[in-house]
Amino acid sequence: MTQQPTTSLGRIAADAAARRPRSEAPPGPVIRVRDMDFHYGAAQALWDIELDVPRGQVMALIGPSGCGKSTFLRTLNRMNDTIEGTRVDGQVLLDGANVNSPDVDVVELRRRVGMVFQRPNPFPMSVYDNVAFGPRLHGKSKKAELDERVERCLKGAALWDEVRDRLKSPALSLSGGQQQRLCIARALANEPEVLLLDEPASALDPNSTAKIEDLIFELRGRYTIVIVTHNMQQAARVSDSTAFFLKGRLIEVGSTRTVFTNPARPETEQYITGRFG
Amino acid sequence: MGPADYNRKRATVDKAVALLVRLGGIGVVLAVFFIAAFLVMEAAPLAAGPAVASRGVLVEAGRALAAGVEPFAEASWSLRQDGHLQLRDLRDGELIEDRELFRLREDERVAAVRVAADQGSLAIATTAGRLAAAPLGFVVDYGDELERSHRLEGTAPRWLIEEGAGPLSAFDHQVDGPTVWAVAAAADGAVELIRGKLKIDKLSGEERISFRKLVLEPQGEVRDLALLESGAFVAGFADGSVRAWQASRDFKALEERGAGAPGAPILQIRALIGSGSALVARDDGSVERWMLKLQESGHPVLGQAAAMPERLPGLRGVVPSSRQRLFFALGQDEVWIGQATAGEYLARIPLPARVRGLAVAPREDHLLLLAEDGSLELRAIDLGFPAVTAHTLFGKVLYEGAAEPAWTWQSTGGTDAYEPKTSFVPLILGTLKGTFWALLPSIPLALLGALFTARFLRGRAREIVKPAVELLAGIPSVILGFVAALYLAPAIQDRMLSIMLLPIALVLVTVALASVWARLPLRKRRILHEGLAPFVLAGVYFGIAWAVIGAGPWIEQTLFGTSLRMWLPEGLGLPFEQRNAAVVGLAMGFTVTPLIFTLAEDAFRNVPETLAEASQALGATPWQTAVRVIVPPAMPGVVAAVMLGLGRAVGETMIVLMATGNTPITGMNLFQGFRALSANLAVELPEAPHGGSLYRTLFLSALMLFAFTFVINTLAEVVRVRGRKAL
Repeated sequence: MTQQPTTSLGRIAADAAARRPRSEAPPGPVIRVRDMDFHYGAAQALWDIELDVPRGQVMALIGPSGCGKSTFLRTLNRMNDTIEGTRVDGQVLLDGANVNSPDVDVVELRRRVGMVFQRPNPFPMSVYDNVAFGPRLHGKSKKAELDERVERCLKGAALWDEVRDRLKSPALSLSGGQQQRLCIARALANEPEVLLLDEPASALDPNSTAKIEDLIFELRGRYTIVIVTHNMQQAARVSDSTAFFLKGRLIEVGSTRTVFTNPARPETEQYITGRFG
Repeated sequence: MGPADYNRKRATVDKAVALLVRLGGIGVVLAVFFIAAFLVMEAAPLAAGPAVASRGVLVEAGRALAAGVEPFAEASWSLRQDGHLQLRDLRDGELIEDRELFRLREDERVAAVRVAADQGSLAIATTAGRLAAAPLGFVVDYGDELERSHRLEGTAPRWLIEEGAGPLSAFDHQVDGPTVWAVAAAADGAVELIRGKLKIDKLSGEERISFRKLVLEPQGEVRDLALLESGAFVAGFADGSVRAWQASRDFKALEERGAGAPGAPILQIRALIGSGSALVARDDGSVERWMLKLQESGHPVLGQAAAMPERLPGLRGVVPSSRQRLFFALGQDEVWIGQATAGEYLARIPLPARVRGLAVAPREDHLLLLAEDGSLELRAIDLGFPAVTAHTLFGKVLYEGAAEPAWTWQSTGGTDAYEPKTSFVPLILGTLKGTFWALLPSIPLALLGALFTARFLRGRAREIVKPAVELLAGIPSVILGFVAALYLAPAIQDRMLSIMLLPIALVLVTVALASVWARLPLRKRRILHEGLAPFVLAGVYFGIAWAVIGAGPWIEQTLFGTSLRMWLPEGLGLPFEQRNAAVVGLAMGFTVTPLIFTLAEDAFRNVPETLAEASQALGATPWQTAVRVIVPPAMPGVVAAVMLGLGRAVGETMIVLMATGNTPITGMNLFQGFRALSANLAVELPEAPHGGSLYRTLFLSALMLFAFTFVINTLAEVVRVRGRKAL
């Protein structure tokens, strides 16, 4: 039996869920995190994380500032490696293989697990070169192939119609929202399986935010998306499942509708009703 | 204190500080401007041409054969036909002294007078064909009010030909220390070379002069003669040919020293100061400079050094300057001032038509014009700096004694008997050479080091490396020069090959290590912790450097059978000097590398971290990130860093001064020294007579240096600011 949504967030989540096509069978997880601890030097940032990310779905990570949700996101493609003194214990499995194993080529891992950051960070080069950057890194240099992929990814990021006439103009001449969609197109060009979005709309105006959210909705199904967001309405609108982090621990994870209408844990309820955070 | 008071105080402080900062900025700009203005002011007079007063002092002197002025240009001398030398005060026209300098026989008259180029002596030929020479000296007496009065020095003439055989058609004389030379041509064309050696008897103190003579059979109608150095003379003939002879070393025979092709008949031949070359004036108004050029055989051969570009209509004679390689050509109603080294006329001065002769004051501050009616006119003249022209500064010039035209810097401090050679070309080439060899190793080292420090090195090491390298830049360059000259130069002279092989060896080892590393399985690569890698690599590099430097002499022996420094001159004919460009390149690297490093490091580090993150998130390796994402936006800063390094290398003084040997040669040989513009200034400016032409030439070179570094630094700053805006 489905409980009636009691909060506005719950209503949003229910509406969003209603608009989504129902998947035939519950998908298997693409990422499984088991018993994961994370340390910055001596300071522990994550404790005992156990989490499955279902394939082809959108998972939102929510929680107050400093709760470890961004850190968790960055463990999925080992972006934390660039910070000195970090340590991961436990397992992060991508299709069953531990990403932290010494045999894993981090270059290939990051190709498969793309990432988009909070602030749009296009390279100071042309729109075209930004999108072609990833494929070129991985050895694709045939022009026809690149042209096709750039067009496909720009269309995939719902940017093609806006930039088709200025592919050669500098990416920095685009608006903030366009730049962020360009960054998404750039990540898509690597043909990743998982897309990590770290607060992708927090630096954008409401209009651009809406476009990003529409885009996430479009990408759902083809890509597995993990999105960190501060905006709980956004989480309710775009995600299938939601994980709530607090003080480095995963408090609760479940379908978005459930988390926002009928949270299992009191901390979750307190957070989503605005009692703290 | 109320809030209003506080706000008012705050505003006052804010305004005061803003004003102070503005003043400081304006002060810096003004300082640069004043330095430039000062350099321009000191160098500008070089560009000014000679100027002559349009009017002067006139005195009546009676009919004289020759006249001149004493050094203060306050009295003039004139020699009359009866052999009398008269001294006249030019300030009041009074006759000061009248002395019978040459005692002539009855019915004998002075036929011709010739003043030596240095104005220290004069010679006469008489109508009887006798030849005499006398020193020309003046004495200054100071009165109570320090006013000057002048008189003739008491000197005795010396007869070089005591019994003549008819009038002489041409003659010249030269006083060279205790030796008197004379050359005279008789009417029949026979030429006599006379050498008189003055000997002082040590016991009695008695002076005795012994003469020797050599006679040349008639060769044609001699128009004029001029003595050059060491018993050589040039004769000009009516058919226009110019020929030279020289007394053999033992003074037993006259040896021919070559001939010039015939041309217009010879008008006059006059030796230039120093007797290294002679001016040949022809009837058609052309003036040439001839000299004895040293051939490979060891014998000098007469050749034309320069020809004046224009023909002067109605040329009546040439008067060489007594101080420099300059001459005054007297035309019909004008005087041309000619520069003999560069072969160009600098000025044309119109004259009243009645002038028939001219003399130049010893200090070259006055011209004395001899008019037909016997009056003398003294005109002030400012020659400026005629020895320096664009051609002598930048063009190839055939200097006295040289075989070929060349770019030569060889300034002369006090005396002008040696021809001053002030070509900037060897100095500019020297500067470029030093800069090139300093930048060649510095640029890759500094840029790669900066990229590594900014983008690869982690944690504390990065915070230590940069200040440490910057500390290097603070070492006074005099210490670097000192170490380079006294320790480095002798230490590496036997290891030159090692120095050259070292970069190649390091690159090869790096490439080899990298390819091995890339083949290692990922699991094995974990052996080397990332933070440890730089230190391990540094150890490896030090080991390689030690091995290459240690093996240097052995490699040289194996390759050349001897050391490189012996093999270069013997095997390749290339000179090798201990203080060479390689030493300077290494030493200057210690000042240039830190500068480029620190600026480039800033440029690399200023590329936003978010871009590097984006690149890495797309799966780029650190190297791919560096090359594709970090370097392109940092490029303006990198270019600016290299340009500032260039500016620093160009202006660097102490190291090049101390470690190069300062030989102003042209050529880019790594194993030879050079002389840079900056070092040249340091060496020569303290010794250049204030306000002289060397002094001003040096200021011109300083201005060039200033302009060059100013332009480079400005460009660098423009590039850098543009780049910052683009990011």
